[in-house]
Amino acid sequence: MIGVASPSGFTAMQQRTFAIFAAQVAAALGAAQQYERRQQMVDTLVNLRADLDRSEKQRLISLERARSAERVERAHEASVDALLAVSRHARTGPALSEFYRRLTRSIAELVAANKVLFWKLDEDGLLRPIRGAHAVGDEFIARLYPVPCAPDRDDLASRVVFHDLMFRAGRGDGSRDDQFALDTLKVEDAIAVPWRAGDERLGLVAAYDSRRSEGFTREDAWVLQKAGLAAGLVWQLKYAQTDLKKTVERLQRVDAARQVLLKNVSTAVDKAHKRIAGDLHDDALQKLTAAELQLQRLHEPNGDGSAALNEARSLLAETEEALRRLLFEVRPPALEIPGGFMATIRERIRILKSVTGAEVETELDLPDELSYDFRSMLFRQLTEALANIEKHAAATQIKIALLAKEGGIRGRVEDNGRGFVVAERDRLPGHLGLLALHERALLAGGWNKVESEPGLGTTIEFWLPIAQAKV
Amino acid sequence: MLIVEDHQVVAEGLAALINDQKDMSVVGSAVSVADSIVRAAELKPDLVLIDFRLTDGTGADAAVAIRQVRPDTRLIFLTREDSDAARIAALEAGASAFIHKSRAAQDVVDAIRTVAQGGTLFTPRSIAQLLNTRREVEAQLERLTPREKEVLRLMAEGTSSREIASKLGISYTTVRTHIRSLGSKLGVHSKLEAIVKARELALVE
Repeated sequence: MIGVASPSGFTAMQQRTFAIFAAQVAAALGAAQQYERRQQMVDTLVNLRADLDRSEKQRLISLERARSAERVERAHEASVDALLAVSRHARTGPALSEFYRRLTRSIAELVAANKVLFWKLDEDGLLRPIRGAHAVGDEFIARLYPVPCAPDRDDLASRVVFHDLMFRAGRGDGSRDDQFALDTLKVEDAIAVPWRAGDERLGLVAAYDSRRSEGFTREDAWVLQKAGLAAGLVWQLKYAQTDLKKTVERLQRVDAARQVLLKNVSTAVDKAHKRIAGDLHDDALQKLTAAELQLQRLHEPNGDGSAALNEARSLLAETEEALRRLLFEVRPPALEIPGGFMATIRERIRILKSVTGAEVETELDLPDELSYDFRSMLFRQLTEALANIEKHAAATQIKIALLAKEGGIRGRVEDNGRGFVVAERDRLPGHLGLLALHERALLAGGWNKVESEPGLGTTIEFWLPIAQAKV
Repeated sequence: MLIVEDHQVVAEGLAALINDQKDMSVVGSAVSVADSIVRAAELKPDLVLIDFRLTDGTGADAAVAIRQVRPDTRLIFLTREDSDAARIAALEAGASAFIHKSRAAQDVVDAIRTVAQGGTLFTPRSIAQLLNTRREVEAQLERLTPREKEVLRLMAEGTSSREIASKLGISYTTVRTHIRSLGSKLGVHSKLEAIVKARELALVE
């Protein structure tokens, strides 16, 4: 209700007008109310719409999540299959080639590819396909060229190998580079992933020509990557096994050689003992017996005492020389001390002169720094050659040369003595000296040569390498 | 007297010492078995001094041959060999004395005198002992088969069982069987025992 008040009252006109006005006001108020209601309804509708949109979005997101979870699961399963396949092959047979063929077949099945191929990065930085993959014939390999590949390069192969790019391309999509790669390979589509073992980049694994209508999927690439990783580790294992086998074989060979060597050494020691005993018996002991016999003559009333004494003295001197020479052979006295080597050689040559009475010409030119082992070996070699002259040659002229040559020492011992038929002497027992000359030189990685003819003297030549003197 | 000795210095010393004696003289010397037979026939010595070890055989070989040519020749062995086997061989070859070289200077002149007068330096007791030893050796050898002797000889030379098998062309198991039987027959169980036993039986030097 609305009202007005006036002390003078209102005319009828005024009253009607006021009534109309009141009605107008009422109508306006009603309209305003209506408008407000409409406005409220619009708001509600808008909110409702927004809610609807939100929930639709939510639904789509959930759906997508579910799908991707499913994809992940599938890919997971496939990767596990890939790992299983790789590890299964890892246990089959020792041959790397057979392992490779089976591995590529299994991976090809997992990623639905016609071909799976490993490319190995070699030491020259070139990526080369490995032959022998399942269903990859030689004519396919023949089309492929080694690809230069390096961490600082920007080509596809380098990015896959060194920067873990997962390459996936099919006909009609992707860049021109991708198409070029497919053209070169003459394949419809391809995926390539790094093949690595830990941080070591072995190369890449590639699958070509998908059997799926839509071509290779992201999951295929993912599975391939897992297979590549697993294969890398297994490959290393296999390689290590092969390497180990080779090492074991080599060690076995070395061991066999050592056994032979050891046997030779002990035989050689035995031979040396026999020779020393023989020398003692044939030389020093006989001379001592002779000296004793001469000394015994001093007791004889009819004997020529001074002649016997002289004889005994010279026999004892000879015995001493013989024993000294024997000692010299067993253990050269001054081989260890600096400068002692040359002194030892000279002393040995002096003994040679005194024993044979021959004229001896020497030419010695040896490096200062020779290892003890080498000096010992060289000395024994020389001694052997000289002992040969002392025992058998009856020479009047002897030439000795020891010279540094060709990374070793070249020795030459020449006499004008009796000589012998080389072929026969080798077969005769009791002449182990010449054999020892050969054996020692061979063991040291050098050589020894004996030239002789009856009546024309003997020449012994040898060469002992300095570097391998430790054998 | 003839001296059979392959070492010239010893032969010279002996000759000098013997020639110093009024009652002896050296008529010649020989250096080998073959040489000694020729020289003995040629020089007709009463007594021969023989080294047991010669280049072409043993003193016993020489002695047997010389006794065939001149049965009355008396023999003295002068040697560095000290084994029963050598003593037995000398005794069997008809030697009257066996002198070790280390005693030569002191003993040889007296020995020559004794032997020249028909004596011997082998005492009955030493002869009995030697014969006893030889009987034992022979008995042991008789118990062995030729193959077992061969195996023992090779063992004593340090040959491994497998090498023995391949050398004799028999199987490794057979070699093992032989070795087992050597063990039970001679009490030989190790390589060292094999060496000792083989020396005793004169299968090796």
